[in-house]
Amino acid sequence: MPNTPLRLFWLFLVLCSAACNQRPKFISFYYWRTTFAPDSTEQTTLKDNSVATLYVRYFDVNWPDTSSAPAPVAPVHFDSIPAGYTIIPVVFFRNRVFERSTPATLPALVDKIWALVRRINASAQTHPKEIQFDCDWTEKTKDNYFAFLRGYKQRSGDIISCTIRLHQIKYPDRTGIPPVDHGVLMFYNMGNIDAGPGSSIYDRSIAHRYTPSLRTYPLMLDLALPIFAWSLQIRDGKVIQLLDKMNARSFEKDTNFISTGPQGFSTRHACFRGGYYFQENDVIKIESVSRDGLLEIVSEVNRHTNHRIRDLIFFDLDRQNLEQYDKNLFKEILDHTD
Amino acid sequence: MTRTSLKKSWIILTSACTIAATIVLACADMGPEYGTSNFTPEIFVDSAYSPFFYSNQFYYGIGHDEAHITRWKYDNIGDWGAWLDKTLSYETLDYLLDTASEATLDSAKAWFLAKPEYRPACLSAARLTPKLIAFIHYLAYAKKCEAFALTPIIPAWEQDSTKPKPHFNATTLNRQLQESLNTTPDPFLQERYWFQLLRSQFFNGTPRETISLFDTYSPQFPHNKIWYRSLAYTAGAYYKQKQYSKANYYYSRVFESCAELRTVAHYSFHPQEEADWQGTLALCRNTEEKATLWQMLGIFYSDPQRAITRIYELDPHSEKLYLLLSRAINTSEQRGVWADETPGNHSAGENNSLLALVTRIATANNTSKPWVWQLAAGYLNMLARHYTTATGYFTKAETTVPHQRLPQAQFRLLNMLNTVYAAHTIDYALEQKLLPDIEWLESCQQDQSFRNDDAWESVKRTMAANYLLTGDKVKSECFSSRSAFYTDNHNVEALKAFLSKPDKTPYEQRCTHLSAIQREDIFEYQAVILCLNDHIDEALAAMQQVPSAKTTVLPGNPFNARIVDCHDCDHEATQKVKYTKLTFLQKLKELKDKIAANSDVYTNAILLGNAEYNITHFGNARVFYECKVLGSGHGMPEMIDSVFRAPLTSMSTAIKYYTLALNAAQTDEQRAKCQYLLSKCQRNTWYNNTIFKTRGYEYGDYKGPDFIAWDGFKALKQYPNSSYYKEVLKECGYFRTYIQKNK
Repeated sequence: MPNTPLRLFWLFLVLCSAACNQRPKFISFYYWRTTFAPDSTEQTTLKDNSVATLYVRYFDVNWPDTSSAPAPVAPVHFDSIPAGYTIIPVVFFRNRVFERSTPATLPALVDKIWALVRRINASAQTHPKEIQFDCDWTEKTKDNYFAFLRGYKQRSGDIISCTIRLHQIKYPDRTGIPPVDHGVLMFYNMGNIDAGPGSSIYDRSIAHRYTPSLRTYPLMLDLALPIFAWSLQIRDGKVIQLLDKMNARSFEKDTNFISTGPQGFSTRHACFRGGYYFQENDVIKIESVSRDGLLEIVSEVNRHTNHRIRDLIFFDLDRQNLEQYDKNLFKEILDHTD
Repeated sequence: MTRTSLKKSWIILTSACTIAATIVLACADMGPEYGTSNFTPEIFVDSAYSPFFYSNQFYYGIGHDEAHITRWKYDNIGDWGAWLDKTLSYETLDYLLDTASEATLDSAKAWFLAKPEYRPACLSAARLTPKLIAFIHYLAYAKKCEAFALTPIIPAWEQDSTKPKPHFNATTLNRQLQESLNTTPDPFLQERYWFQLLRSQFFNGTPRETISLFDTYSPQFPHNKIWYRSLAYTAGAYYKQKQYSKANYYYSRVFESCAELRTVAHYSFHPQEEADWQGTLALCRNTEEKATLWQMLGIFYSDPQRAITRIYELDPHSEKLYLLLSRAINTSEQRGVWADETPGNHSAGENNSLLALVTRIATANNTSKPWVWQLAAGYLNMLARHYTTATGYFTKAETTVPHQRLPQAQFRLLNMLNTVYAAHTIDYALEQKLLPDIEWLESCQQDQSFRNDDAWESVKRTMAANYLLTGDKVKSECFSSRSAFYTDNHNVEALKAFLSKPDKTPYEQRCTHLSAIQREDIFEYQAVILCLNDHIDEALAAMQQVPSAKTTVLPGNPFNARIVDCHDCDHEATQKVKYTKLTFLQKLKELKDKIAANSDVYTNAILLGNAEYNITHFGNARVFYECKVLGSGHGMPEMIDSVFRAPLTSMSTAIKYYTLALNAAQTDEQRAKCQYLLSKCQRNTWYNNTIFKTRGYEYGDYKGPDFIAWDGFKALKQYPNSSYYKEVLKECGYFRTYIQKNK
């Protein structure tokens, strides 16, 4: 851990650098589906918001229980070529990959990921010079993860960014500062996925506990904001599954469900809905972040970052998500960002 | 050819229908895949449904459906062999269907055209018949279909989802298949050409063409496996059209009538909205088909109670009830009932409604197997602690359970469990009643044909707990051993007396047999504890009762001490004398006798100190203390049972002898050595009191200092000119740091 004068000096340099290099901020989106084929609503949103960069999930990396090595999961398939956009590949790692890796196995992992990313780049006819890695690393996995990041940088020469969760911002002395060119502050998935009253996506009281630490975090950050919604299916007080892309509108006109409040429904009669099956008395808890919630996040971040937020990345570009909000909201949020 | 259909069809059917499969994986070391269970579906459910028995894997017994390549191999060989009037051997058919290339078939066709030189070796013994010619022509088309119907398995990192799906121009092939279908007079061949064409349309054509082919030709063929394979592709075609009701209806017919495709139907059956489901129900032609749909819902969407209720309403005699019943009960069994050895300690909600449902059906007595419902009702009542009610159902079952081994075993097991759990105490009468069942259940432990291992463990734990309630700690210990029992010597002596008792009753003999700890184990345990407490004569006497003590060799010299402990070095070092547990104690006695006789007290006390050090957890002779009671393989102190951790890590006896040596020392050299050896004991005591006592430090999370200035270090500092001091300074980094900081 650096001593205090050194940290202050470092912070001064960072702040000075940020202040001296103010550049326009941009809106971009994550694209998280396994087939790249934006529909008309999604494409219109990109145009309306002058989006030039898309962060596209290329694949996940997992280490299955039954396997002796990590494996890619569901690589993206480009149904259409993303002409006119800068594509930044995103690779999501399950933390268990680095729990099980050893320093000796990391070079092979770097090679495999680099090769697969190149193959996907070629299929999309894109030549990105940047890549983003997404992993909720911990104190126990930081050494392997950071060694991977260094190895990938050395192998590819690309600009490298990675996602950073709030707990990693608050406890950098434990979880370390990743060796990347810049970070992406993931301002969501901060609570537990449970049947309780709080939201697992954004919880103001939880966020408050962490945001003051932004002030001293030494990396430049983009800000990732949640525009997705999901529902939790709860049975006997336990969450049994996440209902992807299901929001309040999915249930409110279905007489098999009865509203139990602004963010909840109860199943009156067992039924199918949206490809899911609900037993009688199953509870549905809707989770999403409102317009006000998104503006509140930006205000909170502004308060603690001293103009160090670069761009905004919304998670994720999907018609169902976009339809929840006024189409001008993204620009409104950008204007609200210091 | 056999490989063409399955793999690809499975992938396409599932991807086309956007079925998301949740892969449930389980670690290999987590016990049987059915979890904790006393209710064996194999006894009363059709084994053809076994992949859908409750499991913590994706499919029971098979993990995942990986039979895509081999699924039809034997059917194809059998069907073609019969059609060809057994004119081709099994091996030849296997080769032709599975391995032969298109070139081989091309050569065969040339041979048919009177060019004998082209005759393939695999057909060298075959008679040239019209059927053989027809078979080879068919096979040539079938091999062409592999281009789109067979997907090779590609290693994970090599898979390339980015490449567009290769286009197969099937225009010519489809025309040829259609022509063959039209012109072939043989129904066997017609059906196969129909299947090939339909599948080709599924992969290369439109859903409409696939459906049209099915509707046109399906009435003329028997409902065999080829027919159901065609039906499954047609279901996939409806799915592509988002006609979910029809698609799911067809999948349900596949599920009902084609056991080989049940997993495929499972993957693909996926109603989107309630209207789809209701639409599928409306398509059913009879009660049986509706029951199948409810069965699928109950299994695939984990709602067996609703499914049982609906099927029972439709037809109380339906055999489809039993798979659902087994899943409902096996699922309930996982909810902690057995985990904490307290029957009935499960969440109420669903279990209460399941109990009510099963009880209602058992009482109505109008199903095809009343005994299954009686056993189930008895079992669920037992889990709910309604032991008397449970007894009522088991009494009824006694007369209805078939006189076959497994149904009888299931009945006996549940009835016995109810008897054990219902008892809150144990008396002579109950012991006599249970003795035959205990002997039977123990004898079943290698019998994998019904689930009894959890019951056996649970019976032993419950019997032990009940004996504790009666104050009979010895019998309790026989049924289930507890470490705490051995911390009281009265218990130990009582158990020893019980195990040594002559003229035991049959029940006492069974208790003795069941006891994990036998007489010699007790002597060994007592010998170790006595030795650690420096009662060498008594320890020797006890150890002499242990036959294995004469042969268990200590791996290193237990009388040596190193500046830096190194067990591996000690174990590898050449030893002139190898000590067994027994000879070690004999040597200790010899050394103690010498000290008592005031003979070379310094040397003998050092040797005794080293020995007492080495037989603790910190020393090179842990083998000495390893025994059934104390355990073994303790890689770190936290692995020692907490009640034994203090005696096995205590340094007090080693300190006693090192101090004795210090007092007898004549030179600074000797004093330096004693002080350093004492510092090692002080270090270990410090470890005991700081790191090892704190939960959570076992993973190396301790962040405090590595060492402190122990008294031994301070005292050793007084002898800087001794060679021992210099050796310690050289080898022990802690001491070196201490000296550097305290010059």
